[in-house]
Amino acid sequence: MSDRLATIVVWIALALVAVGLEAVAVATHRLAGVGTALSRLARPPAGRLVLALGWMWLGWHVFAR
Amino acid sequence: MRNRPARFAAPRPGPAGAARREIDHNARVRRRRGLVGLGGALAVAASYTTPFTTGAEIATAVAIGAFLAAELAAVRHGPRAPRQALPGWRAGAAWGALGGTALAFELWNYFAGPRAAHPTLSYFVSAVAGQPWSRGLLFAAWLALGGWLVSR
Repeated sequence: MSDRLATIVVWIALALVAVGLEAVAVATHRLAGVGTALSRLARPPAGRLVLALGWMWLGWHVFAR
Repeated sequence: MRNRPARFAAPRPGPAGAARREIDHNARVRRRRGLVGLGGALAVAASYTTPFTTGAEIATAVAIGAFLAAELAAVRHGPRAPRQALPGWRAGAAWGALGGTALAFELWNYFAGPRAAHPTLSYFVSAVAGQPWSRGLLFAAWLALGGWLVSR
C-alpha cells in the first residue's frame, strides 16, 4: 500500500469514527453529540477564544490563502 | 466572557407580555432573515474569487469582521437567551480524543511531505473548492458555522 493510499484510508477511518460517534450520541444519548461538545467547549472564555480563532484561521486558510 | 446579565428582561406575564414576546420574536426573525440574505450574497461573491487574490481576501475579511462585531456585541450585551444545561466534560471526551488524533495526524502529514504522498485536510478541501458552486457552498457552510458559534 502506497503512502498516499494509507493516508487516505486513515482519513476515511477518522471520518467514519466521527459519524459513528454522532450516531451513538443520537441513538443512545450516552455520549454528547458534536454540537453539544462544541457548545460545552464554547462556554468558558478560553474555549470560546480557541473556537473563534480556529474558525477565523479556517476561513482565511481555505478561502483567502 | 459573558458575565453581564441577559440583554432582555423576562417579559411580564399576561397580554402585555405576550405582545412583547411576539414583537421580540418578529424582530429576531427579520434580523435572522436579513443576516442569512447578506451571508448568501457574500457566499455568492466569494464563489467567484480564487485564493491569493484581493477579492478573496476582502470577502473573507468581511465575514471575519462581521463575526468579530457580533462577538463584541454579545460580550457587551450579555447572552440573548437563558443558557441550556449541558453535560459535563466527560460526555465530550470521545470528541476531544478524536479531534486530538485528527490534529496530530494532520500535523504529521504536513511535516512528512510531499503533499501528494501525505495529503492533509487542506489538500482535500482545495480539491473540493475548485469549482465556483462548491466554493460558494463551502463558504456558506463556514459562515453558518460562525453564526452558530456566535449564537452559543
